[in-house]
Parts: sequence; C-alpha cells; structure tokens
Amino acid sequence: MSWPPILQIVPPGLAEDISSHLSETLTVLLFYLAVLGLISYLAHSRYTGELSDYVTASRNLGWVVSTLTILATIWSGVALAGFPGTVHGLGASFISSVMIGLAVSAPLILYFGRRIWILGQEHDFHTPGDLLGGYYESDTVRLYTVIASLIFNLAYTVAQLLAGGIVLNVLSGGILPVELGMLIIAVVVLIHITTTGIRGIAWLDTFNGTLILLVLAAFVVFIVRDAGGVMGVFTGLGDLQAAHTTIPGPRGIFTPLQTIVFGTVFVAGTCVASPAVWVRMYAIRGKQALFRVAFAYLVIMTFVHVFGTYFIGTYGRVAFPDIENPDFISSLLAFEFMPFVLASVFLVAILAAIISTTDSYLHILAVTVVRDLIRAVFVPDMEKSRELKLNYLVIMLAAGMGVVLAILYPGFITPLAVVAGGVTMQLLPPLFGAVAWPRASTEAAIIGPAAGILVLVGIRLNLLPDPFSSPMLPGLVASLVVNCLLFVLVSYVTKPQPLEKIEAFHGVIHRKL
Amino acid sequence: MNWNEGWRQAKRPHPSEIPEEYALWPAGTDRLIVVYFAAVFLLTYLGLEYLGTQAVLVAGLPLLMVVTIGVSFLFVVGLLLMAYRSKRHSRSEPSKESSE
Repeated sequence: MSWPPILQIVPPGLAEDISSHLSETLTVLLFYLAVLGLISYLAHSRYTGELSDYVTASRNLGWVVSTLTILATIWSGVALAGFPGTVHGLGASFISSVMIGLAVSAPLILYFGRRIWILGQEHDFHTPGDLLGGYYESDTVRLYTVIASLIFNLAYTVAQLLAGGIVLNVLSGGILPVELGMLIIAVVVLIHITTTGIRGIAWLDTFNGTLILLVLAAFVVFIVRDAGGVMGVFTGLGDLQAAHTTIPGPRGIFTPLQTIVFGTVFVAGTCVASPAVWVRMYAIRGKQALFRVAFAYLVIMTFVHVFGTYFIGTYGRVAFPDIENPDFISSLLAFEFMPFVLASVFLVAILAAIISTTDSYLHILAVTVVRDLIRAVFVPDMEKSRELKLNYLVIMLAAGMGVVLAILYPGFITPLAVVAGGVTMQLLPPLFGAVAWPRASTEAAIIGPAAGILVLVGIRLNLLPDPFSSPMLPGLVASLVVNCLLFVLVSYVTKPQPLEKIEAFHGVIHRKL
Repeated sequence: MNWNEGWRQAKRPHPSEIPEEYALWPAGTDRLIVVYFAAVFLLTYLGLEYLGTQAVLVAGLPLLMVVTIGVSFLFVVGLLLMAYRSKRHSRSEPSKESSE
C-alpha cells in the first residue's frame, strides 16, 4: 500500500536499523506505555463519571496543565516531523511565518479565551455550539459548529492514526504492520478517553508536552555540538546560506506580507477556532489563569520553534541536502547524532504527540456531535448520564471510522485536512460577534460562514479563481475575507439580537471582564 | 425533530438601543493596548522588509530569526500590559472578581 508522502513521517528503512537494537527500542516504548497507563489510572481515580467532569474537568484545570494541553493538542506528530521537513525546503522564512502567527495567536487566545470562559461559567456552556447556537438562537449556526468539528477532527484524527501506525511499525523494527499499529493506537486512546475524560487527556498532554520539550532540547544540544557551535549550523549551508536564512526564502514564496498573512491566518484557524482549544477555555480554573496560559504558550512556542524546529530543519539541510522526503529529516538526524536510546525516545515523542492530538480530537468530536446535534435537535430532554454514554459510543464509532478511512483512503486525508482547517476558521466572525460585537445578527452568522465555505470549496475544486493566491494557503484567505465582509455587511442591514440576549452575553462579559 | 430558529420570532431592537458601553472600540487603556499591537504589526512588517532580507548572522543566529524573536518579545510585552491593566481594573472593582 502506498502512503501519502506527507504522512510517511519516518523513513521505513529505519525499521531495519531498529530491528538490530529491538530490545532497547521496545524498552523505551513499553516505559512510555507504562507511564500512560499510570496517568490513566491516576486520572481515573479523580474522574467523577459525570458529564461536566468528562467534558470540562469540572472547570478546574490549572494554568500549567492548560498550557501544556493546548500545546500538545495543537502540536501533532505530523507537525513535529513535518515542520523541520518544511524548514529543510523553505528555510527560515517558513518558521518565521509560523512564529509570527503564534505570537499573534497568544493575545487572541487571551482576548477570546477570557470571554469564552466567562460565558461558559455563566451559562454552563460545554461546546462551541452552546455559545454560538445560544447567542444567535439558531440551530443552523449550531450545525455549522458540528460540521466544522466533524470534518476537522475526523480528518486530523485519520492523519494522526496513519502517521502513528507508521511510527509504531518503525519502532517495532517492522514487526507490527501499519494497520495493526493504527488499531493499537485507536484502542489505547479509546480506553484512556472513556475512563478519564478531559482531565486524563490534559494530564497525559502535560506529560507528553514535557517529554517533547526535553527531547527537543537534548536534540539541539547534539546538533550544535556536531556543528561546532551555533554559527556552524548556519555556515554549514554554504552557498545556500543567504537564501535559506532570509525572506522570501529559497523558493521565493514568503514576501513580508505573505509571511505575516500566512502566519496570522493559518495559526488563527488552528489555535483560536479549533474546537479542542475552545473547550479547553471552558475547562480552565479561572479567567486570570489565561494570562499565564497565553504568556507560557508564547514563550514555550518561541523556544521550541527557534531552537527545535528551526535548528533541526536547517541542520538537516546541511547533513542531508538531497533527501528523498524532507519529513524524514528529524528522525534521520536523531539516529545520526544522538545515542540510539535517545533517538528512540525522540520517535516515542513523535508517537506521544500523535496520541495527544488524537485523544483531544476524538473527545471533542464526540462531545460536539452528541450535544449540538443529537441532543439539541433530536433528543432535547436527554438526561446527562445518557448523554455521557452516547459520547462513549460516538467515540468508539469515530475511532473505528478513523481506522477504516485511514486504511481505505489514505491519499484523501491531506487535501481534506487543508479544507477542514479552512472550514473551522469560518467560525471566527460569528464568535467575534457573540463575544465582542453586539451589532452582529443571526442572518450574518448564517450567511457569512456559508459563503466562506462555498468560496473555499470552489477554489479548492478550481471552480473559482483565488485572488489571494498562495501555495501555502489555497483559498483560505479569500474565503475568510468573503466571510468577514458579508458578516459585517449583512449585520448592518439587519437587526441585532434581542436586548436580553445582548445583556446575557455582552453585558455579562462587560461586568465580569 | 426539534429544529430551533428562535431568532425568527424574537423581538429584535433597533441598533441604537444597544448600550454604548458594549461598543467594540475600547476606551481608556484598552485603546492604548490595541494601538500598541497595531504598532507591533507595523514594526513586524518593516522588520521583515528591511532586516529579514539581510543575510547576516547576529550572535550566531540569522538576522531574520533575531527579528522574529524580537516580534515574540514585543507580543510578550503586550500580554504583560494586558495583565497589568486587568490587575489594576480588578483592584479598583474587587467585587467583580468574587464570582471566580
């Protein structure tokens, strides 16, 4: 079976090297699984088995756990291996763009997060659909959040399962078939989510995030040592140094404007409007904690991307200039410059990132489908205990569907994931209206995102031209601009929400912020 | 099936009835923070345009990376300003925090 290149994040040839040191690699893998089991056990002992605890951890997550769970959720295994691969090809301009986007997202997380937290606390909201459907009094708007969550979370879950199956296959020295690897990850994640809820997910994310940070730090020490100092990492590029370390980069893609727009739009979509991040805003212990979360998030991300992703990708270009697939760079470098056990830990860290993303996305997928579709539309008087059981059922179905899709349609996932990110971003204008702009109307919240999604799909299918053409963001900027313009225009020609609704949202925010 | 489009029956006000204090454009120190971030955006663009194109290493790092770290630093300062403003605000009106 041929896997799409972007998801083949570790070289298959590594399996042969690993098979000659299998006992060491398996020890590392088993140790990680043992820690995972211990975290599950501890989180299960705190789990009350109630819906509120399952979805929002009884709104009691501290700022350290909240920061690391947001980081680990955003930071997928594909990104951990894929970003250095992109740096290998596009140079510093790419990582500069990503970092500017992350910097922009920090105040946005703070701005939207505090408002989302206040409304969640005041009205007992659990999902994006609770907030948007509640403010606009529309199940059409609520349905948008379900569609966005379904497409986004399923596409990324399938991508993670595929990548995870490949990593497990390599880690086991080729003994475990990729399909079995995917199944194992799905089962492990299922058990973890259904026995611990979001608290267990957040605790595991905290461990995984810490593991990734430590391994990356060690990785960079070995790279700098091999290069003979920090400067050696860049002078080693030789003739390529000028193009690789400046904008617009070796391929001339990143003009200053493209650098800022790509970062801001891409990150706003994945960090702020992501349903999994949104639910974590409800789960944080207090709104003041969000200052620490935003601060720590930005500082850690800056450290990781400059001294992790950027150094690995750049030195990968020095050590392996003509590699067949740039996504192999991080794992090849790890086994080239680090001791074997530490390199195995790096592969396990990729697996950890995959598990963190998968459990978060499956959890929120089930929560939104059950609460905002089944409960809101079909069974409005559903008891909370039944809603919780239905969540377990939907998670099992979604995980099963994820494995089947990963096996049957692996090549379809990458293009779908790009569209999924674009669909999710269309929720930003309605969110802005619900928490910051009382002039927004329901008509605008229905028409704007619908038009944005149509433009996105039209551009992706080559039915419409892309006026903001960018190889990194096909259709995303154009669809968001159309959405925003229509949202404002339609709001101005229609009436705002009832005064009591404005009071219940904007009034509460104004008083409690 | 219970499809709810309650907004169609709701009594919706004239926009002028929306309380002025809920306006989008912030007042006082909040306005300064918005201006600060807008200025940082402008500086980011100028930094990329005029410094990010220079193939120079500063303290071992490419100048583009130094500029990018500088942008992150300016955003961190912006976050600290927001935190400071929030702290002052909550001190002046302590009752608002009691619900936390």
